[in-house]
Amino acid sequence: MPKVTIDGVMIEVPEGTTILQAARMIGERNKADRHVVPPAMCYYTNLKTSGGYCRSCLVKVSKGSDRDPRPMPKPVASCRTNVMDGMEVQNTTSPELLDARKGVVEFLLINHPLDCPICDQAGECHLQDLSYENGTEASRYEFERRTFVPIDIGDTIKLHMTRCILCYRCVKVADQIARWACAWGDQPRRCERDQHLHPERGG
Amino acid sequence: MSRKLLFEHIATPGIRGLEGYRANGGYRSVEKALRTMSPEAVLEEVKKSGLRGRGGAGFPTGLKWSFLAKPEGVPRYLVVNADESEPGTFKDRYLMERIPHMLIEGMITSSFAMGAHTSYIYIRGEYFYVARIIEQAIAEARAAGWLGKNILGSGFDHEIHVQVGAGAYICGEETALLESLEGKRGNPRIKPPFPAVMGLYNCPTVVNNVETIAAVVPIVNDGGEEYAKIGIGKSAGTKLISAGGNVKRPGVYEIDLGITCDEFINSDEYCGGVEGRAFKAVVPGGSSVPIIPYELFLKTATGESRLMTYESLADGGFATGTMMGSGGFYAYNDAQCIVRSTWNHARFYSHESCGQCSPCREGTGWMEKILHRLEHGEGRSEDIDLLWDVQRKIEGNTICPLGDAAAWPVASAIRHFRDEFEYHIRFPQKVKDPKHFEKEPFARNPKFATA
Ligand SMILES: Cc1cc2nc3c(=O)[nH]c(=O)nc-3n(C[C@H](O)[C@H](O)[C@H](O)COP(=O)(O)O)c2cc1C
Ligand code: SF4
Ligand code: FES
Repeated sequence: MPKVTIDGVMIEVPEGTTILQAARMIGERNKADRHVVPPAMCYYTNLKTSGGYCRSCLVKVSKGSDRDPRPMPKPVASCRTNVMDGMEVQNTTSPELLDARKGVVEFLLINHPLDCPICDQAGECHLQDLSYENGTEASRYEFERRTFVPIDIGDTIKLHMTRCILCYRCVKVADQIARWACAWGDQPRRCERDQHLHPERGG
Repeated sequence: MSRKLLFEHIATPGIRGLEGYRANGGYRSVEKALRTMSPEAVLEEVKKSGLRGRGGAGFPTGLKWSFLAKPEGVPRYLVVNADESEPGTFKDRYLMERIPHMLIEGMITSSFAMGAHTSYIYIRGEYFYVARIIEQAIAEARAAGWLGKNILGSGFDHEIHVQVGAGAYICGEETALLESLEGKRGNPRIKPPFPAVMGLYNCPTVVNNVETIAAVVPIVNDGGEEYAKIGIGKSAGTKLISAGGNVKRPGVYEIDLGITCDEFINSDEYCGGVEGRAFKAVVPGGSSVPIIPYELFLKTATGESRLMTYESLADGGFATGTMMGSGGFYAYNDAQCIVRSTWNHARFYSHESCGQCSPCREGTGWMEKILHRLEHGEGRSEDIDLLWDVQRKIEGNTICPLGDAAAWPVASAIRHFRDEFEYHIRFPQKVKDPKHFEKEPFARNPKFATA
């Protein structure tokens, strides 16, 4: 079983474990080590092929593996990168990485309405948490933000593109979890959902 | 005088048709490979030639082919990248328009080496008329037995299909191309797995540029060693360069890798220098590579003559060098505005970002807006540093290299032409006239010419 060290904390994990999962295992093993866990927005454990899009879980791989110790040239998405035996990863111990993550949080929010005071999700919002924990106090973005009219695509998924950070999780939930539910005697709605959520089918 | 391996017969009348092509030695490489060589031997010649990918990244072609997974009972594919959407690049189009059979010949020979029985040409939507030329050439080749079952009685079967894209730049990125070819939206895939293991329809796939595949023809005909004799070190063979911008003689040139940059830009055999004015800056490899001042294009920071090779163009790293890229060469004279051009590039990347990952989707749009404001006389004193920081936070943090490609032109423009950006902030009234530097060329601070 490969051993990986994240911010100096080592763990042995099954083959095929991602860096993010390994970090979460470290955090569960010992609460004091929870700082090694990178934030994640677009990754969702119950979905296949989720993650990779938002880039908030980027980490620095300072040593690739025992076999090939070279560092990886760019930060990698920890939710989509498997650990290798002997890999060394930096999450909070790399100032450049934390700076890059600040950038990611800023990017995720430049077109967000920041209307938390009137939003139902406020207080239990992962995006809000991400921004509190990893972002900056103020935005440097002064241009007009993208806005969209909300679209009713049924009662399973709410589509409000103005607040969307394009994590693709709803697309995957629709496909992998809610697919049959939407399809149930509700064909027109399903087609409409497909149009809006399934870019590859011509949305 | 550079050798002509791809363009030897480009001006020969009738070369576009099969008869004319054949009369000038066409399809010899297919005969040679299928009749006298094993697939491994063809691969060996390509490795020996030192050929590197001509699509932009310069990855050794033989090595790429040797990564191709070969599981039992699973088809393999060759996909030719004819998307050619990099601003400034038009070499593949010229080759396909003038001498389409060369691409088809290269595809058959290369597919033989890979054991691929089906190959695809993914061609950009704007090249619909070129697609027709290629389709016609394929039909001719099929009728003459160069495609189909049991080619030349060798037992090797091959078919080529043409797919026309819909005009998205991102579909030139190899995994986005494969998605598009499969009929989906052209979003780049997250790698690994790489196409050599899981490519088109989840099968092992090689994606190569048009020019790369065409170069296989002379390599197999004359041997890899002959090809490797041209050029310097790891930059072997000839390269097509499409030259544009303020040069006297724009066009597509085949050069021996290793000629000096001075010869390329100033000699009458190639670009022929500049008309009337002075050169200011050069982008030697398509819009994604760093722009450098003319002085640094001619000589590296250490004062050596710069050469048209992968290594020499990159000499000095991003501080003082640039890249070979796709060979989309363009030069600016002193009437051009670097801020305007950078804005134009930023607008392109913002429009072409597929939107999958946040730094590229949001960052390219942000850069475009800041640059728009600078160029239109509404810039603020903090804009240059802000722009620098935004590009820095995109670079390296994205799924595919489009993010980097959007960041580099901005970074290099600020690095080398910061004084021009400052001018835009200081003299908003002057830059409100889009022809500002045409009327009054920008007097550069010599400090920026070398550092
Ligand atoms: C945004 C983007 C656009 C690209 N466009 C092209 C293109 O139009 N043509 C091309 O040959 N390669 C293009 N590439 C490079 C391909 O991804 C790939 O590296 C290349 O086709 C491989 O062929 P080669 O090894 O023969 O160069 C692009 C890459 C990126 C990231
Ligand atoms: S870098 Fe840009 S083009 Fe590439 S996947 Fe991300 S958003 Fe799409
Ligand atoms: S959580 Fe890994 S990229 Fe979004």
